[in-house]
Amino acid sequence: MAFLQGLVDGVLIGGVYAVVAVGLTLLFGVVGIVNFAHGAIVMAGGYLTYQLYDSAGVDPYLSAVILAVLFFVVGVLFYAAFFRRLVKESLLPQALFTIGVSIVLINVALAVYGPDVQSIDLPYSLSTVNIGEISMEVTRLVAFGAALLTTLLLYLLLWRTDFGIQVRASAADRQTAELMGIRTLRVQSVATGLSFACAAIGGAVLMPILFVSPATGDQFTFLAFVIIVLGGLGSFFGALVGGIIIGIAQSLGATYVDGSTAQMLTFALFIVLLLFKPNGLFTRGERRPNGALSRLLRMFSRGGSARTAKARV
Amino acid sequence: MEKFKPIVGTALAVLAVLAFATGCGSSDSGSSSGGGTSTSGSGESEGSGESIPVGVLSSLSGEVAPNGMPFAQGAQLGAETVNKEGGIKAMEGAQIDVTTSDDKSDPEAARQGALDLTGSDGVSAIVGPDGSGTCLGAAPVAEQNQVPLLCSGTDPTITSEGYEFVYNVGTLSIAFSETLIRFLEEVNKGGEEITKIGIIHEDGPYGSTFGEQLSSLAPKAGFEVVSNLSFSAGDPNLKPLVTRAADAGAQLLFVGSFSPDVITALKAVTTLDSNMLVASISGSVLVPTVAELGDVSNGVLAIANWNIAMNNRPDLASFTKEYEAEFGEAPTADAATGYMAMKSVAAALEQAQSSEPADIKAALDEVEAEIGITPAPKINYDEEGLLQPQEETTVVAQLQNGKFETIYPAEVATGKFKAK
Repeated sequence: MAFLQGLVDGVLIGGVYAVVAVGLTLLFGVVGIVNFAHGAIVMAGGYLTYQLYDSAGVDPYLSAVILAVLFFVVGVLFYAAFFRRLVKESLLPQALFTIGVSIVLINVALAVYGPDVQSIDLPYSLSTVNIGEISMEVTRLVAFGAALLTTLLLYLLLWRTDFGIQVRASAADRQTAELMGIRTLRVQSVATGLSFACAAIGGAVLMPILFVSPATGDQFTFLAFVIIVLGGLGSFFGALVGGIIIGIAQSLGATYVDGSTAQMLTFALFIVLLLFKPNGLFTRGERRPNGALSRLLRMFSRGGSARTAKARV
Repeated sequence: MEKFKPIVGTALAVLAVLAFATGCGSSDSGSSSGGGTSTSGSGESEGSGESIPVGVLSSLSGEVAPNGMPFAQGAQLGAETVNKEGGIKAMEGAQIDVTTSDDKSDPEAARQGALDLTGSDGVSAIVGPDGSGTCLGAAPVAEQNQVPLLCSGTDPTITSEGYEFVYNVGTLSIAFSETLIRFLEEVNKGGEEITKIGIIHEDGPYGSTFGEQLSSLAPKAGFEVVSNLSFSAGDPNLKPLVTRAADAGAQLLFVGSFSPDVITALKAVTTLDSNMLVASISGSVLVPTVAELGDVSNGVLAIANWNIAMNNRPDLASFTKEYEAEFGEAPTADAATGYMAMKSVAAALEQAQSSEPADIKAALDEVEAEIGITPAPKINYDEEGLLQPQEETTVVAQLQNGKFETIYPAEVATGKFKAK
């Protein structure tokens, strides 16, 4: 029974991780921007969710919808103002810029809310659904559902619509796409907006489960990168499955050994999986030299363009 | 592509400036390099006109900022209180001039901060840092430059390294651990039967020390440690560890970690519908966020070196009132520690009648200060520089209906223990 409970807990917390990671993989896959500010945007979503609840009593799940729209607009504007100029740059300027954005957001949070954690006490935040002896928290179920829904919607958008074809064409070869009449700037700005919206949803659905603090940004940026490299850069389902794998490894590890060893085992598993699937779990047809991790490392070591590192969406 | 480079460069420069500006803005007294921000407080009296530069080195940013910020604010209030009350009377009312520096929760930055304060800022003493790691980072600099450093940490090595100019105004982890055991013994004498303890702790030096001490002390006192499990600080999924402690029959779960982990553990205990009591240390529990969790945190125990509600402490009410008025929030144990450290420096200045660091150090070795807000009526430092008395400066508080009541020891208690 402990195994089953650990497994369920892992799947659910993995869903929380996935909802955070999916926006990062979208931005990387479509726009070619490695966004080290992604966790800070999640944090901003968390703080705004807290603020809406604290000042107006808005339920966090309603906030998720409101903030998704708001952050989409912010993302589009952000692309026009900054990312548009960074798309053709190598990883170093991208990294420096997004790390700078992250520092600004974290310090703004520190200035406005102080260093303490902020939490929301909801009547249903600790409600559970029991199936036999397995207990599941409602808030984690909702977060898992949000991860599934977000992944599915992004999949449908990118693989079942004309806009999706434009997005994928832009990601594959921007110049050719432009020659074929695709407005790549518009496509990429929408993708950036969607990425920001995903981060906001992640921040909002996290609030009933955890809390938010200035440190949330760094914590989730690192985790999200691990997940998208594991799942395959640019793959939505990879982000979902990667998040769940990390969640299960941590949860079962903590069930049978302890949390510290579980953390170590998680990264051991990460390394082993990348040895056998260097492209990540959900990328297709690439050979080892183009593996997800090696592409990221190449970008760092050679200063290569992020465009060379785009994955398929 | 070339045409974009100036734009990107400009954007980066703007961001860097903004980051610096907001970083400093996170505290009205932050400083990152080249010395700190000087503030002599709002309550200068008409003294001799002389001012005594005292540094406050604390974590105003970074992961320890939830502790470091109130520590710095407490120290600031301590200086302002002294100044309002006429300054250092033995020095014709000389005012304490505070220079604050941010150690960024990083030992290396703490070392640099200490270098700036003892060098270009020329302070007579340093209050802080608040935290064992940063304290150990700043200590060698203070020793080398022979400037008294009154930092706060739970690590005994702070004062056991043989430093002559380093003082620890904090309570060692062993004192917290022993207090928890003594408290449980007393509770059991009163009719409770708490015999099984579960321990979960973060895997850094802070949490691991508590894990080792409690698992060693508890069996000697007749308690059974049913689980002792570590985790990485900030782990969002503590439920498996909490479940294991509950399944093993733990009646009390000790969480040796920081506020976020205590909150995560409290939520996990509640979702398990368990009656386990949860206990942790001072600043991890005695914060508004924990108090505002409602039923989730009601009954949580804090083993602390200070609590906002204590009986028989003459200056506690005024300290709380002034702190709330100035900083817009209730003081924490860290704020009280910062205040105590600054008042301790003031007492040493009174005795030394000098602002020379060596004279202040000599006075600190002898002075017995009455702080008026600490659990122990008087404090001093032993030959190693460790705050004394250790045991009497530790209390147990319990969150009861949104308020942290001191429930142990009886001399300062404002309430009684309530089982969950």
